Amino acid sequence: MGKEPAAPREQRHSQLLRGVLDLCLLALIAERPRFGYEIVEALGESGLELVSEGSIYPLLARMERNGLADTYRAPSPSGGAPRKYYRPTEAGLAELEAGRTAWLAFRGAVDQALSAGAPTEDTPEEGK
Amino acid sequence: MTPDQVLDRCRTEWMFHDMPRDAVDDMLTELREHLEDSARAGRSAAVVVGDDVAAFASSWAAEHPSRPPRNTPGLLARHAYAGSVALLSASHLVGRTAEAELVPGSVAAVCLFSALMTFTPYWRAVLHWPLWRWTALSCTGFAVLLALFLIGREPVLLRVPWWATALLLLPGLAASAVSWWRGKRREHAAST
Repeated sequence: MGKEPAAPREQRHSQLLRGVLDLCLLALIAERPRFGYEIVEALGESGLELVSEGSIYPLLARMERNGLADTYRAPSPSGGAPRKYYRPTEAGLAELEAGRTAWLAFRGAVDQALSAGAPTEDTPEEGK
Repeated sequence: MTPDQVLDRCRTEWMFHDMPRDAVDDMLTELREHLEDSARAGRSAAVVVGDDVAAFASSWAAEHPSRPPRNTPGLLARHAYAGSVALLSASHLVGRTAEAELVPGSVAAVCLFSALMTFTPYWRAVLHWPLWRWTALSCTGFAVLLALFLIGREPVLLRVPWWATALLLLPGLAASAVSWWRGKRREHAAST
């Protein structure tokens, strides 16, 4: 049986991000209300580059529909026309807390599983 | 694709997804602002919406809190009504006859039309396909209709007099008039 070709790094990154992007968005708007472009910039500063920047809008809309976030229009600090800001509701903050707990448990489990096959200092290297 | 073309595509998608006018305007404003910010940072519109603008716009519309629930039976009925009226009117006008014949072929044509209009994103073909593809689709559609009428031209199920077709047309005209009037009233309210 042939080995599957390794997924490109970006593809893996994108798949991982897809599962937690809603939590990241909730965390960013919980820090302070932000508009769409600010959210994308903040994600980029954290090292989370999106394949398409606009993919946050369906997620933000879903959060709004599910009562996890609400919106208001206000002038941006840089001036210009009022922007649409997103902020979490009480339910959104509760969802964020539950998501954080789930993520930490999940990360711990994945770390444990991945460390099983990782080389350690005690492991003798082949051919030496 | 330029930002204006992206916005135009999105507007089309959202309107054909039956999004309310206010929600469409709000989404367009938000997207325009994002595209402008991205352009200032030296990024193209494709970085914002991806390679498939229609998919991006559809996914946003699908999640939007203002999207009305999809009423598939209602849509099918509306399209079947429009198809029937168009077919009967065309029979009177093209055939120059006071009596249109309803045959199995015409029933099949109306069913096909309703299904295509209800279950496919037909506007993408109408508005955004290149001419050669649109011509090919029109020729295929014409051939299918011709085949339907050749195969199903008998028996005559119903003979519809012109005045019955005119009566059938009335609810559609009334609905269009009400929709036009509501649109005008909304525009007036927005401008004051």
